[in-house]
Amino acid sequence: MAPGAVRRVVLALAVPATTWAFGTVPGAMVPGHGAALRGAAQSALLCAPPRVDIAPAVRARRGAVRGAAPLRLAAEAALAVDPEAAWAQHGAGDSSLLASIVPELRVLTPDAGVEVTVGEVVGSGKGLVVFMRHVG
Amino acid sequence: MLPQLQAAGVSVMVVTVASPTKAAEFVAAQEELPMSAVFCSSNLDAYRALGFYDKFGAALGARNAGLLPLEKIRARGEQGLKSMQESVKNFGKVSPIGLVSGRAFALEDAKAATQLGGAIALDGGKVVFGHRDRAVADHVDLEQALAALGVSPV
Repeated sequence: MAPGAVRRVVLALAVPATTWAFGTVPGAMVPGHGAALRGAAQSALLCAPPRVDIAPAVRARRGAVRGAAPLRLAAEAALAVDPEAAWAQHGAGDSSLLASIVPELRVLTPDAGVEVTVGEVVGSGKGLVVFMRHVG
Repeated sequence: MLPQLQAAGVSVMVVTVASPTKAAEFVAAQEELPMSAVFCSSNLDAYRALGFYDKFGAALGARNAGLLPLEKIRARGEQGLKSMQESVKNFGKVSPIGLVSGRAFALEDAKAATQLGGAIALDGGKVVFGHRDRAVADHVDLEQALAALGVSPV
C-alpha cells in the first residue's frame, strides 16, 4: 500500500474514534458506523495512486549494463589492434606494399626547393627515414 | 646519433610537414641536424601515402589521443624525462605560425600541425622496419630501427 493510502486510512479511522472518545459528535457509534469506516477506507484505497512495480525497470537497467560491457571491450579491441596490426605487418617482413611506396615518395629539399624521391636519396643501401610530427 | 648512423653507412632523411622556408628556419635555429638531411612534405602527400595518422590520431579515439602520450612520457622514467627535456631544447625557437602557409590562421597549417609521423628503415630496397605514431609522443624506437638495419646501438 502506498504511503498516501495509509495516511488516508489512518485519518478515516482516527477521526471517528476521536469523536467517539470525546463525544463531540453525537451518534458516532451508531449502528452501521463500521460500514461507513470500511467505505472510507476503500475510497481512500481507490484514491491512492496506483502502485508502480519498478522491478522490470531495474531488471532492464541491469541487463543493459551486462550487455554493454562486451560491446565496449569489442570496440576497444578493434581500435587498438586492427589498424596497427594490419600496418605493422609491413614493418615485420611483409613489406611489399611499403617497399613499393617508399622509394617513390616525393619530398622537397628546403634549401633549393628541389623535388627528390626517397629512392634517389637512399639508393640500394641502408636508410632511415624519419617523418617528424612537426618541425623541431 | 646522426654522425654514428652516417658512419655506419645509413642514409638519414628527416622529413617535416613544414614549408621549405620554415624548415630552413628550423635548421638555422639548431646545430645537430644539417640542411642536407632535412626534407619537406608540406602537402602531406608522403605522410598520407604511408597511412600515417592525422588529427593527432583521432581515428584511434579520444582516449588514445589523450592517454597514450601520458603513458609514453611516464614510461620514460626519470632518466627518460631528462633526455626528453634535452631533446626538446629547441622548442620555441621556431614559431609555429605559418608552418606551411607562411601566414596566420590557415587551414593547411592546422592540418600540418596535427599530422602524426613515423619512421621507415630500408635495407637494399626492402622495408625492414616500420613505425607510425599512434599519438603525440609515440616516437619511433630508434634502437629497434637500428637493430633491424643490423647496426649496433650507439
